[in-house]
Amino acid sequence: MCGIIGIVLRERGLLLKPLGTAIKECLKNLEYRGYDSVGFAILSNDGLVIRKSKGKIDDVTSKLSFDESDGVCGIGHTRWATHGKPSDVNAHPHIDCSGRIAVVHNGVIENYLEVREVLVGRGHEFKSETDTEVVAHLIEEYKKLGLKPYEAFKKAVSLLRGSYALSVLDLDEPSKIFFARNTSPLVIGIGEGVKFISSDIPAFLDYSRDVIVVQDYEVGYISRDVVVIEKLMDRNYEFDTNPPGTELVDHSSRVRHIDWTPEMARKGGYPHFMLKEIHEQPQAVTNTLISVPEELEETTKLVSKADRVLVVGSGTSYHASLIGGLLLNDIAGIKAHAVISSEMKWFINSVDEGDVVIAVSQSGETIDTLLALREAKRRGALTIALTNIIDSALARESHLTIYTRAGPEIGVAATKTFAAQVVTLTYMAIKLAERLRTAPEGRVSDLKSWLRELPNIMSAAISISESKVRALSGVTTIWRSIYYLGRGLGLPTSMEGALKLKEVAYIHAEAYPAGESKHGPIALVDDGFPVAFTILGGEVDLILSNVEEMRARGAWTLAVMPKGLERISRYFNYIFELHHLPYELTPAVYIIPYQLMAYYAAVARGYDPDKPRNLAKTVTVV
Amino acid sequence: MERAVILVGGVGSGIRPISGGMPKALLKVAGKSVVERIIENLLICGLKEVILVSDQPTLFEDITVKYGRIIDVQIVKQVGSGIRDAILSAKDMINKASLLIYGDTLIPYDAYKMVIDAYITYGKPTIMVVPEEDVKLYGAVMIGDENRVSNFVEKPNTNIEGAYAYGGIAVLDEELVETLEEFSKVDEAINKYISKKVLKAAIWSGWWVDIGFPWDLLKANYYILNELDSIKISSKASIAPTAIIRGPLIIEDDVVVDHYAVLEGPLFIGRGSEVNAYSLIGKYSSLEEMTYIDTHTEVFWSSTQPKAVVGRGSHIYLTVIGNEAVVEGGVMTAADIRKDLILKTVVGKKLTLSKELLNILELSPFIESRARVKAGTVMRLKP
Repeated sequence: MCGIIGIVLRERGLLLKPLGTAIKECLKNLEYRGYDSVGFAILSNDGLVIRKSKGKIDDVTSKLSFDESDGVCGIGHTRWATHGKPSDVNAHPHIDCSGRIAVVHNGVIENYLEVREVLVGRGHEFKSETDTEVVAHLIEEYKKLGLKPYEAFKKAVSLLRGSYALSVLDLDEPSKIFFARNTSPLVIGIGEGVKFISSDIPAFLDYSRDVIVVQDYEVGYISRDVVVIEKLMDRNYEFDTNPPGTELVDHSSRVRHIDWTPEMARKGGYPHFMLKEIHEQPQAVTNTLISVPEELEETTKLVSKADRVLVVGSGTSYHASLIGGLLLNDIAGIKAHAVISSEMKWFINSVDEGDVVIAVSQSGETIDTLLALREAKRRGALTIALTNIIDSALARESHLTIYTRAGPEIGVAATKTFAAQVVTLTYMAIKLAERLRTAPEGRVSDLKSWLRELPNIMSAAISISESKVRALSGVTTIWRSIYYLGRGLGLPTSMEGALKLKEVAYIHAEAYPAGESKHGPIALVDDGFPVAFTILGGEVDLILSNVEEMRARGAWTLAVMPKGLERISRYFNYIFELHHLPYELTPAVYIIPYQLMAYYAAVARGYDPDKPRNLAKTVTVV
Repeated sequence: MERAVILVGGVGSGIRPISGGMPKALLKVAGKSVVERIIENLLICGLKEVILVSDQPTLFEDITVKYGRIIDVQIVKQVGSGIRDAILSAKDMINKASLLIYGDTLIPYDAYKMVIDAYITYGKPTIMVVPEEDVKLYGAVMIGDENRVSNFVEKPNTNIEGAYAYGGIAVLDEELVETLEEFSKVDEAINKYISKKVLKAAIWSGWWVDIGFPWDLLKANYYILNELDSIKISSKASIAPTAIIRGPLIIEDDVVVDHYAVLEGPLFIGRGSEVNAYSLIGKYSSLEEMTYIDTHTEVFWSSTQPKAVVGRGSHIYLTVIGNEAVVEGGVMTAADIRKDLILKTVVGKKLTLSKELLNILELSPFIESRARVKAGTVMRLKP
């Protein structure tokens, strides 16, 4: 996980700020992709200026005075270490021996060790431990052998195996930025007199609304006037100087106009993105409910004929998958199971043409989910992607795609995309129940009308819970460990709540089926041990016995439950009372106090909830 | 955004016993008055001009001198009383998008940054709100889609479910100020304004203190002293070699700490104060300048305003002592409180203090400015 940016200007000063400042701002918008080291290379009057260092973007950019560096052409990088620890030397850009070529890269080059060995044999000196540095030296080597810079770049790329989004500056073909993509995301932005190449759209949204998504095995360059994209035809990994076969791509029909506002990548009135995104959930659900019915029309037709449905996802997306799986069984009578993406391998043997695999991933680039989808597809299953990112890998590789319309999510801990995923899968189950007549007609129309009310109910849940959560944050600072217990849909809701608390507040949190809690976990409960109960409505009496078991051991109990259950309120030390609504629609609402609890616990404990340690927004490594 | 207008006029009936009628903005927390803390935060945010609105401008002259070299500070005389009149007194300065700040609100500087950022992002007037459980003591703000303010109640009679507390910072525009002129109440004007225009709310999740009552100074002590991260002792202070010093703290010029005194931070001891032998100054205590603590005295989570005196063998817990007040020897305040139980409730840096603790703070005694407490007096929590 890393973020890359490249900018070419028609003339100096076109953005009304130094190029270094523009690179810094673009990188800030890519910070969610990683933030352990930062660097840039700018082509200026003095040649190639390279500055890079370990550290967070704000610190590094001020230390290395990005704001005082100007030029017409530059690349930048924010790193998330995979090969080689975070350090000044391992920070990108990487250069060749002559210092004329600068490379930034996101991904993992699998054959870098063997390429490196060959290059070392030819006299190249390596400075870093990264896989990226081979690219710079490889281009240099081909240039030495007589190829022109761009040809040498293409040749170098054809030799690489693994995943990469590359962006390269070469002093010998100034005012061009070369790029190439395989697996790792890469987009081009086209603005007035300026062109961008970046890992993600929000990087340049302040300047440019027209984008082209670069596809796998495409190489090319951006310059002040043109965008050139070529498809790499042969990838034979031979070390010779024959230029690789390429085919020019007509990209005119691939330009898309993005209508998000650039503010969406700013905090706009919140101290953190995570809080902002929690508050944006009603809007995310509204937008999703407007757009998905059309996409669901065709998918439900196909899903209704399936022998079996597997819903796969990782992390938060897995929890949404669990909710989707439960509802498909419960209201549509479909044999559906949720599977963790990285565990799909052990289910795959039974997957065949009769199956439908729904792959859920916010970014659409999660490698585990992508691999699961590929394998299922290869075995003849119908594949459906559910993602928030247009044209992401998952969307391109699946037979059908459903997009959640949550808008870009910057906080590493997923919140609004979870709500959008859950609502989409719920809607799918309702539509299937309607199509398959597994639920009474009145019930279906009832659920549909409640679904339209959901954004308002969520808004109310946020404002009612927030002050209670903030007041509770004092208690959370002494927690070492907490259980989240629930039954039915309350279980995945609990799991998601526990995951949030782990992710941003670093408190050990474990979700368990409430009925199972006495088979083991209860052994840990003693005086003051916090236990949160997710009570959705139908299971009150069942869960109450679990509450009593916990209280008998001295547990400190918290409940997220519907209003109007006064008779059980004395069982709890702290209560979040939420709107009463049909059981099937509760998860998107009842998760809200838990999301806020994780956020405020992180703030109270002095952590930055937007940048949890050891986590990255999009996980593109297995 | 270049200019901030700070309303420093309020005397505040709730805290008058401590302030002796001085404006609330001049009360001291860990060596700096509330208004000084606000100005320093504004400096970090890059503002260039500060306007203080007060009905007693002369009291703020020292501040204009102190900060005048680094930021443009002006004082405007307030005409009339109350928030509305204060805003209108400076209306010519507010109309060009400036930050409007209540001079009795303490918050970390990120909160100012957040509000400025929100205004720049939306280009719409913005007010800061805080998720508080009981909004009765503050203004109540209801928010709707995309954080538009949908209702504002300046002095709610009852708690309103789902409402946020008004956080004392806003960016207003010309039209909102003009609307204010038409109405006698701030909330009526705001509700009129939002019936046709957009007013945004920015949600602050960190700590904030609105100074209205003596115990609010104890809250402020807690949050501000918790931000200390080192031991700073002036080279002009005189610390006995047998004194024990622990935890982050600030000791200013000319402080005397005598033999066997124990200082347990986070705490603050202001210029010219004296802590005599065998005395213990505990966590979250702030002794403002020229405080005199006699021997064998324990002070815990208390605030002494300038020139307060505490006699020998006293036990001062959770107490605010007004300026120039004299507490004679052997006095116990909050005698029924156990320190260990209080400290247990504040592990870590809380965003809000627990309800139980707030109740105790509100019931704990305070000693009026220039009062004298007789030797041997025992004060318990108010029943």
